[in-house]
Amino acid sequence: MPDTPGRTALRDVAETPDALVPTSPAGEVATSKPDLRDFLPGIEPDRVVDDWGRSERFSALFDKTLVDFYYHLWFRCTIEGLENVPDDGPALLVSNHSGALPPDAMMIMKALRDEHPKHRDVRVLVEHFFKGYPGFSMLLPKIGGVAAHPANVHRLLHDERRLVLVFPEGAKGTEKLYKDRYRLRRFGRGGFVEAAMRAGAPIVPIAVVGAEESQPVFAQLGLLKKLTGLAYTPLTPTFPHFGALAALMYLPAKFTIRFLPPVRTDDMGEEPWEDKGLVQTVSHDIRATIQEELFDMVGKRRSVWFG
Amino acid sequence: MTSKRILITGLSTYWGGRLAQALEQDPAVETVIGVDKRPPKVALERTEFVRVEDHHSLIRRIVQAAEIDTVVDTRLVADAIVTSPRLAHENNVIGTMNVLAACSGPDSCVRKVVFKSSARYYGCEQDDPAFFTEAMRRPKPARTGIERDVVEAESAVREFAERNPGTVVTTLRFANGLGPAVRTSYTRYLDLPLIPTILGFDPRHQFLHEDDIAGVLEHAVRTDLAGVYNAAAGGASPAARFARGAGCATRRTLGERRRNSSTSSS
Repeated sequence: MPDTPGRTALRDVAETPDALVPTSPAGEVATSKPDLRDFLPGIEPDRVVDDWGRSERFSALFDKTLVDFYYHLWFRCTIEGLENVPDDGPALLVSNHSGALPPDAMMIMKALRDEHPKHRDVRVLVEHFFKGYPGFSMLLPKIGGVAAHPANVHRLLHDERRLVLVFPEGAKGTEKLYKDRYRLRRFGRGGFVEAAMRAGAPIVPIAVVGAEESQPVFAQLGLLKKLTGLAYTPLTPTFPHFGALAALMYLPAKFTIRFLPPVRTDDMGEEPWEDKGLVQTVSHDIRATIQEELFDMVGKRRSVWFG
Repeated sequence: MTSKRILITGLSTYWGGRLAQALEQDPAVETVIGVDKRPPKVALERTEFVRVEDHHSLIRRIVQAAEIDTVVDTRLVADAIVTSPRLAHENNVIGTMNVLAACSGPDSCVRKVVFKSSARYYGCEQDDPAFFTEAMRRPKPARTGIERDVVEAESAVREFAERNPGTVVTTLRFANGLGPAVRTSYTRYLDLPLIPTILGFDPRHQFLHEDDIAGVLEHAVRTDLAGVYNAAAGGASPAARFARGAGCATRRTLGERRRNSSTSSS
């Protein structure tokens, strides 16, 4: 809905005792011609949607209900090293990925929104194929998902100076089986490092423990995948027998999210992204950092459920 | 302003007519000549209308006879419902070639060419970036005839710009136009009593008001802007949002008839 002077004018009208005038039948309306658009029914009449399609109202609703429940009661998230996330300016957050339908992204977003001193808002990079799925295509942009395209990352980091969360393992991370838990897969082709270098944004590695146990994958059902055409069809404690509901059925594992010291990319010389060797080295170093941290955290953990 | 003698091709299109109306008000503009196959739809005062097909020798003769210094090409059809694909191709690709041919040559008096293109140039694919800048090109080949036409027409314009370095060539890629007077497939869609959408999808859209389209064209005539420019309203809007917004916009802007009918029904 375009923001026009008429809307504010109407609000002024609404504060006066004559506020009932706009709701009266059309005949009387024609005399004063107020802007009636605020009175139109709508699912979200006053939502704020940004250029990326993120709906302030919808994401707040989602955050206050479902995510809040999982964050505080179900996963009982413990957050460490939040001071490693800058107070302002861009940063690329890089995390390990796990679980059939990963809850880790929502938990990291929630942690930064609620517990970071500046309450920072995070955009999550999601695969392009989600645009083709009905429902997901609509929901993901509304809660802050952005398709993982280098141009999008650059715009978010460089032009809009936001926090961007990326899972470089991608689908390989969510596909991995329970027996391979906390073993990081290949970090893509280092595209995330290149994007951070171009934007001059620091990279903040994140290690998440708990997500692997919240929705363990025992096997990949190849036949079902072929029959349904879904992106992946894991065998989990709840899928496929609960169908789509399984997406919200997690085991109550204890989550620990640790933000690690940032890696600067603006002191690597002129156009460091042209040096593919350097890009691969940085990517590999970040992967190794997260991997070591994960082994350390899992080793010190006494219980999967109580931490 | 350097443009004094202006030729508008596609005068009978809405944009051509609006531009001619704006330019003829300006006493600094000596001549406005419009060419098209059909007579213009808007009231014009001192714009001269010449009825010709897109034939380069005829347009060239007009250009030379009237000593035209600026050619504004507003013919491009970017909406599949306007005409048949074959005629659209004729108009978009062959017509553009002819107009450009009429402007080129060593003895040409044309100093500026403004080409009205469309954001269809970028197309729409699943793995596209969320925003296209002018430097980006579509990552995959064009899907529809119209998109192919736009890409071909633009490559002809680019070639013209390379061959004529002394001529200012402006390419304007417009988003979909909306407004009370313009008729496109989008305005028809939003005029439906119930707007159908695809369940589970809420694509983002970008529009430009019809007055702004005319304004952008006029601005390009008045100032020298070489290169390619995107022209769209700031921001993008999901379909559900603009559909609801247009439900009100229909009442507000799409003519008296609709305003009366929808106010009484609401």
